[in-house]
Amino acid sequence: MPLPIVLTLIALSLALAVIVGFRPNLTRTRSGKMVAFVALLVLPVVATWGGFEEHMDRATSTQFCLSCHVMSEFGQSLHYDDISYIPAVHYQNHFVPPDHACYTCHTDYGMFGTEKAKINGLHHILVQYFGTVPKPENIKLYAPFPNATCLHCHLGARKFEEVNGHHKTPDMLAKVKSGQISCISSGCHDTVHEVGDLKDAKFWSAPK
Amino acid sequence: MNIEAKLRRASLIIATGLLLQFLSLLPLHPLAFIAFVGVGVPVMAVGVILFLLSLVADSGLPGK
Repeated sequence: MPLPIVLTLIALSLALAVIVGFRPNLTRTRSGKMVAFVALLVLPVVATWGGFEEHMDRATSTQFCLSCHVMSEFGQSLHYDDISYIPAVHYQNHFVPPDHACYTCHTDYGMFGTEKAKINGLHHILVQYFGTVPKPENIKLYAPFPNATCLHCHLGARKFEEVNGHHKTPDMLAKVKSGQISCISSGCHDTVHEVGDLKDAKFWSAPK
Repeated sequence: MNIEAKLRRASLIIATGLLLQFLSLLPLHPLAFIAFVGVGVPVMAVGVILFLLSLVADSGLPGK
């Protein structure tokens, strides 16, 4: 549901609830009862659902993830002018949607991937406001980066299937696909955000 | 408390919840999400529950 519609729905629902609140005697008539039912039950529930969907959707945006100060350096790392940095090359070439870059690579594609990401996000907020925020270079993933996330897009792609680096041994590609060889921690594609490199790095910015 | 007072109370609580929800949708920030889920939705839900309770607790809406 587009944001203007959600906001309009909430505003309409709010206005009707206020009207019923200040004029409860409206409910003495049959039509008044129907208005009260819609104003105090149907519209608030529909509007809240729309608002929840909007919040869930915007929580997948790159801007949302980078709105916490501690994440700003990770955002900068997407602009490294060096193709050896995996997140930067994905972001700059739109291999991932730039507006949803963090979410695309840091949410697993299992049944409860979004829910897990939300719970982790809530944990991050608790740490941000009530805990000790680690330095950006000390922020690590909860678990090793799963190959499944890479394979979600790369599996079946000609470049992935045929590139020489994936055929150094006869069973290498099969091991990558099964997760026996990690794309990242095996050392093949292990240059990721590397926020410690920011000081000396060159940056690329998209043409306006 | 008569039914009209109960309706007034429920309506104003729902309106408060909806206002918080509306405001939480304006900024793009994790705290806005928390405000929506942690405050706006529960307040609205309490209002809706009070509205429903006012219906079942009374023999009918005013005028009956």
